[in-house]
Amino acid sequence: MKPNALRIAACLLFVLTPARPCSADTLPEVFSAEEKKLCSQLTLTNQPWASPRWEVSLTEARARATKENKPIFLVVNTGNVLGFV
Amino acid sequence: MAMDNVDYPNQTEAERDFLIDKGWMASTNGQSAFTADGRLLATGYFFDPRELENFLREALEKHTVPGVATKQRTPTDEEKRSRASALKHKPVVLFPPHDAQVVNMTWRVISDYGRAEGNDTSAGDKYAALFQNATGIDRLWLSATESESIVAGKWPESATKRLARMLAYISGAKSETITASIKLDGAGRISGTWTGADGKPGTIKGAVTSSEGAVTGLRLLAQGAVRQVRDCGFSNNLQTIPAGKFPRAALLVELADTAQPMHRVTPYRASEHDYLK
Repeated sequence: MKPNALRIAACLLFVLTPARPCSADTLPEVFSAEEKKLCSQLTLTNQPWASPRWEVSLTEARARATKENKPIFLVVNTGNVLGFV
Repeated sequence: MAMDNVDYPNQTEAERDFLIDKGWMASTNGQSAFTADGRLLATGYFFDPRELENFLREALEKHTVPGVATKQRTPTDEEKRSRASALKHKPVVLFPPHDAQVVNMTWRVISDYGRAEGNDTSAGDKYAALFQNATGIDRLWLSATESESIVAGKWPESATKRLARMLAYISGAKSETITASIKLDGAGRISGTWTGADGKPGTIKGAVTSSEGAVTGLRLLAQGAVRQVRDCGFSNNLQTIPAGKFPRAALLVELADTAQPMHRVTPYRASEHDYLK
């Protein structure tokens, strides 16, 4: 990763957290192999844009930015927030 | 952070005032960067990742130089009369009720419909193919009573009706007329049917688990025909479906990760007065 990219990544108001184990793993087996593939494609834990810790409260984001001395990066979308990320 | 620019449901009036010069009125899609004390670093409207990277670089450079960024200012008279100012009084639905369970709904088109049809929201044809393969997202709230019913082995009719609003949306039907039926058996297996676009039959399949009186796992997969839906971007991948075509789509419903603040994004329809009824 280039230094600039590192700097950008470090300064964004993101905290990358490991995905929690999916509770669906313990669900009764009901899906075919093809349906499991669809579930895998659709589950939020497999969407790259969903892995950063996105804040959804401005007040909470400001408090965190103050604490971490970082700027706030705001993404504005129509309806489905982050749906285009 | 991320926010909805249509109804601003999870912003207080004070927060809306704070954001008035920070791009919160972006149309369809926008980005801005600012400091916690309100200094605007940069604002823009980007689809292209390279342009966004340059935007972030510019913002970060300003962040490291004191006095370069625009100071927090009070709204001008023109801004006070603007649409933004009027909208700040819209109803606020901050976050899910404390006893509600949040589920994510993600969807994508799974059958080929040929060439994607570009529109304003997809920046014309340039990104239409990307939209065709993108994943849309919304949330749905389950009330405490509904969760109790699911734990007891009975799928609540009210939850079916709420999910049907989404099925109606993706299939282009009216919420009050769409047919959807969901059953839960004693082994935690979900099955059901719904009527998709053009009257084509759709399927619903899934499973739940519970422990100590709470729903601890839920995964439901609905498949069926959908059609073009254009509403300034919310429909995501449905907007590039050519008119008159009815490809199949899959909608996954599963419990949200409550450790991720994003689960508190307000469902599109949560401001409807009967949403939780």
